[in-house]
Amino acid sequence: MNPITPFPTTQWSIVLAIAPKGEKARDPGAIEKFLKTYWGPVESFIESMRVPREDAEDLTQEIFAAIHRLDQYAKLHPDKGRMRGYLKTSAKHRVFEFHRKQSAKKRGGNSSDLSLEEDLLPSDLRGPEREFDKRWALRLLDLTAAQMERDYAARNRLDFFHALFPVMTLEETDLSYAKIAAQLESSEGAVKVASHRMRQKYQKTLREEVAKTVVSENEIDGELAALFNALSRS
Amino acid sequence: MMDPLEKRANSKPQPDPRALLKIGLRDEKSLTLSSESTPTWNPPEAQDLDASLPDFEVQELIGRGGMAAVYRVKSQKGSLFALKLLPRELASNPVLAKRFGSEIEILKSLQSPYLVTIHGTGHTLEKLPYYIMDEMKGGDLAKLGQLPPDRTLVYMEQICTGLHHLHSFGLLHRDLKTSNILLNENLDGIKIADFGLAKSHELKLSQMSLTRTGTQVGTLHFLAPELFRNADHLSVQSDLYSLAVIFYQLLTDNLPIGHFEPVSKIPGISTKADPFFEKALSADPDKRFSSAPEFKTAMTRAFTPTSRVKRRAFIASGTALATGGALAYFFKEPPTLTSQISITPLFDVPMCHPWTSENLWGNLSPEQFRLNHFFANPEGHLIHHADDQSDNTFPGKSLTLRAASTFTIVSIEQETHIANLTLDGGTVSAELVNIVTPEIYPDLFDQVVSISENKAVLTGKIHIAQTSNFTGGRSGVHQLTIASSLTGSAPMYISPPRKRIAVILTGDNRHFSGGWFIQGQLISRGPHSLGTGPISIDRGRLIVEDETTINSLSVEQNGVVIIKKALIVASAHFSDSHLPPGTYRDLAKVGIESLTGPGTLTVLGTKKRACTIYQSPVNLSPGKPEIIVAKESGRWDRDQTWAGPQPGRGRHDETGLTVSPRAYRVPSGIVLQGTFLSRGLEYFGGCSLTLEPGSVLELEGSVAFFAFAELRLAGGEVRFGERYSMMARELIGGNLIIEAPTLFRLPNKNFLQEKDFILQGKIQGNAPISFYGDLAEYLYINADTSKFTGGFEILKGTIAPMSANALENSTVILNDEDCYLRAYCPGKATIGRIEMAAESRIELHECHLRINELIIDGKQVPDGTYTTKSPELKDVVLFSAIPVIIGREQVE
Repeated sequence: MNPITPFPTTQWSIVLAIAPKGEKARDPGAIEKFLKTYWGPVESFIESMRVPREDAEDLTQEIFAAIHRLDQYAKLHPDKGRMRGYLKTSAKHRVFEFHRKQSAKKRGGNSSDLSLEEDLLPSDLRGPEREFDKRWALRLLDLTAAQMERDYAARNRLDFFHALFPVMTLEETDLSYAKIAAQLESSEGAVKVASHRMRQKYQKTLREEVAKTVVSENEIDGELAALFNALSRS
Repeated sequence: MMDPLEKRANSKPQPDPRALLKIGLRDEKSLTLSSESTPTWNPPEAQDLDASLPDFEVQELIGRGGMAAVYRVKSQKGSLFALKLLPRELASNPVLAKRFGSEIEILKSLQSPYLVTIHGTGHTLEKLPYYIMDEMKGGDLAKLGQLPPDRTLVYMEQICTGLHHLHSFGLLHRDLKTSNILLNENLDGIKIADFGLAKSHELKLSQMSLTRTGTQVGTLHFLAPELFRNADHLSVQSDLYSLAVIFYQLLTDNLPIGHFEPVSKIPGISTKADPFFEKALSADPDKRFSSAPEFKTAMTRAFTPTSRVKRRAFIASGTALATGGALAYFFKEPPTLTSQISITPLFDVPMCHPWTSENLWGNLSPEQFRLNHFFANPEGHLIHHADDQSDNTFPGKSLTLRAASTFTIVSIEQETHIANLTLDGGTVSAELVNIVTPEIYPDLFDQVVSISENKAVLTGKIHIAQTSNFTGGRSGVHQLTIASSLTGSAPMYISPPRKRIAVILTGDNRHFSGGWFIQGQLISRGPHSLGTGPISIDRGRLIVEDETTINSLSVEQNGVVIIKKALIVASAHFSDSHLPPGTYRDLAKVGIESLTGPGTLTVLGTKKRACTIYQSPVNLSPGKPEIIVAKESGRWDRDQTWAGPQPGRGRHDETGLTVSPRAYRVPSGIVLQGTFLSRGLEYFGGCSLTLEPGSVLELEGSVAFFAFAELRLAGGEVRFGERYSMMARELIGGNLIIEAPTLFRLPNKNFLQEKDFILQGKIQGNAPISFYGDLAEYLYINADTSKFTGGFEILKGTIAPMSANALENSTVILNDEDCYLRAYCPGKATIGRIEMAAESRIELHECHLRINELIIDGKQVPDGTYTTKSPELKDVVLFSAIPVIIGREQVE
């Protein structure tokens, strides 16, 4: 993370910043690691478009390899929007080309096929896309939780994390701080404060993770809302 | 990597993911505002803005539109105003910044009590533009809902006056809607606001309304229909259309979509108001009121209380019946609709469901229905949902589908019966997508939205008066079963070529001699269902399930015949060869790829008689030959497009294509549009159409077939309309004469859309055809090009020959990496000459391809036989397991 800017630098920003000069990414490993985090949702999305598993793996790898190549960065532009949307479009494009090639092979060999027409993609992609967004959202939450867990571990407060994280989203009225305090051998007041801080920290960590997938900080709320809606429609 | 869903399923309970995402939000309003397609922006907090506006005290955010935020501010003298600010996220977009600037300029130049008044402009310390206007405390009209007529009139008169003021300065508002009409505190005065779209003519429709941030869907319904076709067709009339929508919405609380209710149903409103709305909401801008004052005068007249007039229309028809005259009822072009029928603002095609709807025919008694003949006129569209109706027998004496009208049947259980159906160029269809839409038929849409396998069945008698179309549609797994018996002698067309969709014939059609031109899938059940006429299959598939005898069979290279039992045919031609007489039992061993199935084929003779509908004889009707020039852009079936009679529609029957002796010319700068959203056959009615350099022919259909007696391309462009059809394939048939370089252009946009051109018939001339589209958009060549020397240049996209010799005499130039040639034809194919960049590709699959001359990056590839692994063709020719032959002579 760039320490000078007040907001977390987005991953797209890293990608874009290096493009004009053609320099190497400051931390190519970090980018790769980040991209691979979202490997799963992309692969499932591709599979849901009637691509056999092995081919889906190949196509996913192609997509991420393409993003990772510097010459591709040069073609990126802030108009690409959110990374989630970009990956979805890339996936659809590759699947389309995949089916196109497959059907072309088939056409040549099987005369009972109608030559002109194939339904290359499922006619309604809303289901698979929703599923993709859902998986993306859950992946994001997993990443955030893992990061939180690491931070708490680094401060030797893992017990607080395990006690408070699962109940973080519950209303205060539904919680017995006294019980948790007893479990942690702490005071009720201290647990309340810790719970409040955990929510604050969670917000910050989650927003940092989202920031990596959008062009500007202003889009974070929009992206969170879109993911929220994706989970609502399940 | 473990899938997040699996991982979750296996792990212990976790916090609710939605609640976790909500924690991340700073502004929970985003939950309602967010949309995938709109860039998100947040209005600055009032206190933040206050810090960068020294001249005002910013009190609160009072509104947020799609493009700007509005705050209540207090000046240093203590007066309250509204301040409209372009937020940072949008100010960085030059188009939006320019639009905001133009809004300010326009407001400065206007002074009217009914238009928002500007009191000052400026920039914040952060350089964000703003302007100061009156604060309208009453909100906007959209919040009021339905209003009593007298109150509505008060507002409407003010809006008319304000709009007239705007128009008198030569300006158009372009975005009139209820939410842009602001109200004063007492709710007795209005001001028109939001001039962000006024005047700036370079804006296109897409920017104007479809992608505006936060725009409500309803905005579309305020747009005049001509703007859907061409965003540049702006006029005073397009503003007046929006004005009429506002008026209708205030009176009824509904938008005038589809067959909207006449306003006279509302107590206190006279029937005089119905024709007023019919005129004000006409799809044809020329038929609307010409100015705001005219609108206002007519409005006042229509809403002046008088004694209610009883409708006399049905009495009149009763009289006619009593005297023995059979009345014909029509659904036709907007101006001739009865006062109860209104056209939809989204499509200017009158549609109707159900077929007995009083909106369509008038409130006929059962007796009147029984005695009358009914006609569907061009572009009329009847929809019948058989599962939804108690009686599926058409109650009239007969129904005629005239050219370019459509009858769609929806059913998975019930049969539909029409005792006497005449097909005079119309289409019978089982398609649902883009036909039953939620905007037009919300209730029907709910019923049919889940039907992916429509199984429509039609019974009764059908007379084929001229070539007409049966189609299963182009989406889903639809079937259209024609159990009716057919008569007539004009050929029938089966479309479109989709594997999962079929037209099934089960009737006794011994008295039908027109034959079938099959580009879709036709299943014949029963010994006499194919009739006695010739059958041509071109990319389509014919499945013969019973023992059947037919006259002749002609199968092009990409056609397929599947014989389940036995087919006896007088003659059988496959591509360019004919099968000698005899009985063929093991069809797989006959050696013709197009012929298959477990049954037998008996050929009795060799005489060829093909069924063609695009290379048929052209008959000129008698009349004085004349040349008619297009005087303005527009549809070819509209009078105002031409400086003379419009071409109308050609007529195709057993004698061929009959057209008028008039020749039509399109000069530079004119865009000529094919008839709107055709779903079937369109025969251009003139004997010739010439596109001069700088002109455009724009075609838009679903799976349409546009045929010309003669299409002369002397330059200019043939392009695709980009309206709303997801999948569309335009067949252009007839004699195409390329006199000067001509561009065929596809949208080159969405790779998920299927948009193709198929050139059929005959291509002649010596100038090149160039093509520009997406890689997944094709220019198919299925024409006779033996006399065409111009060649094809692919700028971007894919060219696909569809028969062995479609490109045999042609040069094809593939310019760069985004150019493909795809040989579609199983079997043998020859291409004259290919000049290509090394990055271009040739795709073939088990096609025996010969290329007479192949030039890659300027170097000629020596004659010889190559595999795709040969270094010369590696990465150039893809997928083929069969060697490619280069050179004119056979090289072994």
